[in-house]
Amino acid sequence: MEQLQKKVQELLNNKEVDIVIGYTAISETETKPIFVKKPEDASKLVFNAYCYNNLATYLTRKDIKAFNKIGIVAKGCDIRAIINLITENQFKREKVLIIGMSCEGVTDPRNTDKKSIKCDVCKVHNPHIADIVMGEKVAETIAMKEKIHHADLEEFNKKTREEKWQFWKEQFSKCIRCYACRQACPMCYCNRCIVDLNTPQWIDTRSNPKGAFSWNLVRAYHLSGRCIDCGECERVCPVNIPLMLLNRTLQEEVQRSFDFEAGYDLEASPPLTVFEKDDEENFIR
Amino acid sequence: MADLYLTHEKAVQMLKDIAQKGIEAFGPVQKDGSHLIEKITESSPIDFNYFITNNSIKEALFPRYEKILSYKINQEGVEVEDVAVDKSIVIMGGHPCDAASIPLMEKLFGWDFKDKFFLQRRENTTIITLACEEADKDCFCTSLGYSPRGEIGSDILLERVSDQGWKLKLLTDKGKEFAKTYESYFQSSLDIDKQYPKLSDQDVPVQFDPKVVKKWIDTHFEDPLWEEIASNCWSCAACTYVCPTCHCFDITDDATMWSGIRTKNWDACTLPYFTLHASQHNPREQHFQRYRQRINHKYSIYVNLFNAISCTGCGRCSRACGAKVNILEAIKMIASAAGGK
Amino acid sequence: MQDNWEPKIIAFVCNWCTYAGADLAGTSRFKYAPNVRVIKTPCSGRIDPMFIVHTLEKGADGVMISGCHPNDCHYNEGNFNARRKYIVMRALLTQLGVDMERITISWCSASEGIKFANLVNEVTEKIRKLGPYKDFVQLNQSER
Repeated sequence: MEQLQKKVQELLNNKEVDIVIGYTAISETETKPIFVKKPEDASKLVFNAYCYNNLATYLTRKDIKAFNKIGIVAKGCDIRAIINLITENQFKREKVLIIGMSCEGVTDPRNTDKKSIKCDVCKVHNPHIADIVMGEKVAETIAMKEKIHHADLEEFNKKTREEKWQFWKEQFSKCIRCYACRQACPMCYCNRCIVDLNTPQWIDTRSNPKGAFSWNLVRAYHLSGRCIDCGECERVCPVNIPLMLLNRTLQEEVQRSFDFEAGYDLEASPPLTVFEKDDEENFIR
Repeated sequence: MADLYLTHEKAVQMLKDIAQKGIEAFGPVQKDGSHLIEKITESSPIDFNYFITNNSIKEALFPRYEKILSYKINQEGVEVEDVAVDKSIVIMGGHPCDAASIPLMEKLFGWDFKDKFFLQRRENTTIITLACEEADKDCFCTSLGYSPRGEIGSDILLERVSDQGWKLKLLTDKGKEFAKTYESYFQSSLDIDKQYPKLSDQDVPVQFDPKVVKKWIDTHFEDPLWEEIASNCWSCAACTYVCPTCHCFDITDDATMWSGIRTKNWDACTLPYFTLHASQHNPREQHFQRYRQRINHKYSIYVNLFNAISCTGCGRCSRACGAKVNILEAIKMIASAAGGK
Repeated sequence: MQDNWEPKIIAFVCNWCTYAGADLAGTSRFKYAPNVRVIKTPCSGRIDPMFIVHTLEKGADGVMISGCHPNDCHYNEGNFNARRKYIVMRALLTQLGVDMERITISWCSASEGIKFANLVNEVTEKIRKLGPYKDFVQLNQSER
């Protein structure tokens, strides 16, 4: 932590960056994002198992983009988001100074006695792409080539079709259309989201079951091949909808069908912008 | 009048029975690790074991979506069908900060245009409030003149006397009528646990003077402190939608060529395109401008219009915020900038 | 269920292959069920998988999507892009509990009039046996 604070102070003093996005403590078990512009404020930075936020989501906010060079404290999953944003041409690699943090994992935000299940399938406990790396090296338990299987999906996939429909009908009837999932997500950066268009109105904006269904479906679909499994959407949902079940389904499908996982390779092309001649078509008559 | 008590079991049964009668019953349910106020059905997982629900009671009177008219177009012209708002409503499970929001919203919905959808519902509603047993760092009802045992807006206040249930405090004629109608669910005695903690105003210390806050807001519109306060805000509507007093709405049509329905749905000033003009100019383009507006509206503009702050200090917005923007911290920063108190 | 219920099936087809194929079915006087309403798009790549959802929301009992065979796309790659989108959308819809039996995706060329006719007949019969698809329509509540 002190190493991080010192480094950021140095970066700001030398004007190597204009601003650093990091975490600061609210309490012993809670952190929040902080935007450090003055070198003396670097002492407010922390890094621990309660650093849930994916700070990459701020990199596409207009006021932050206006800065020349942005430093960002990032754990592996956050770096995946940054890499993905670069492959989608949202900003150039040189614009961010990635302060990669070795991370053993964060706690489950809803039950801080346990580790988050996303950390069990993490391939980048040690930052895979960064300008500076901090923290002690952590043993990687999963190889890059390995195909991921998410624990929450394995349980869910046992349901029948009718059970699945009832499940989602009930879950989506809770949805209040606050778009916290969209705003927390680093990949949701469209200037004008599809739900914000009304000539024509593509997606029903009401928070009734039909509207909620359409919205959550379209968001999951627009994230296909792009979701980097940070789980923020699920964390910030005020009514606890298990959104990651859908996003992880598509992560695994993209992995299976296109041998692709987002956020590891700076040179990669987003999977739905390219194709292979022999892509699967056994479902096509 | 003799003392009346209500057990959890009877409360669950009462809510479900009320729902069967064609009355809209709203109560606390436990779903996926949190408690929500929802419309009760036969299968609702009603549970009273909570500190505070994630959402407020406002959707009982101000639905997330509601049809306000339907229409048909034919040879003769346009036929419009109005919607009747005549169902009785019973709300149980909010805290004094929820009940206090109802008179606040009445001021707006009963202002220059009488919103029958809210007002008629309000007339037919009985509100049963649970006095608070806990407060956390995000609660600040007392700073706004409310109380964890507050009676404003409620018809019946339930004060917990043991693990089994509550004692009833009948506050209004409606409350007395309710107690009479549903007397079979109540009992005249209950094993009282004298050790049971009673939360009082002292347990929620006052943290700021709203007058000082308003004065600063009114004279510091361009102050850079706003950007600092709202730095983390990512412009969703979580705070607005869980808030008991936020009341903005949008009107949309769900229609085909010859028929349709018009719906009134929740909207939020915090969302990026709330103030987008047809010219595409957006006066509140930046996130901090929208957060400033939210605080300004609640703590100043509403006071100018109705002599009341549109906030009851429930703290739900702070708890719901994924970006960790905390309204109490924000107000205290303003109070501090204004020179203390 | 009404006695005279007829399946309502919407088919999104590409202009250059399947639409022409459907046209051929007509000019060749092949008999096929009248339950399919055809919507013409320039290319299967234009057929956003969300069309499936919108169509079911509006009361369709089944959806068909059809385009040119791979390598035959009038715009060279439209159907290749579409194929990836459908792979992803099918996984998503399956996970949501949507009845995938009601969704048929095919490649049907301009000369495959008989394939189009047969497909329409087959899909109509299948949907008739499955019955009306109420799931999505029931979501459209305007009262809480």
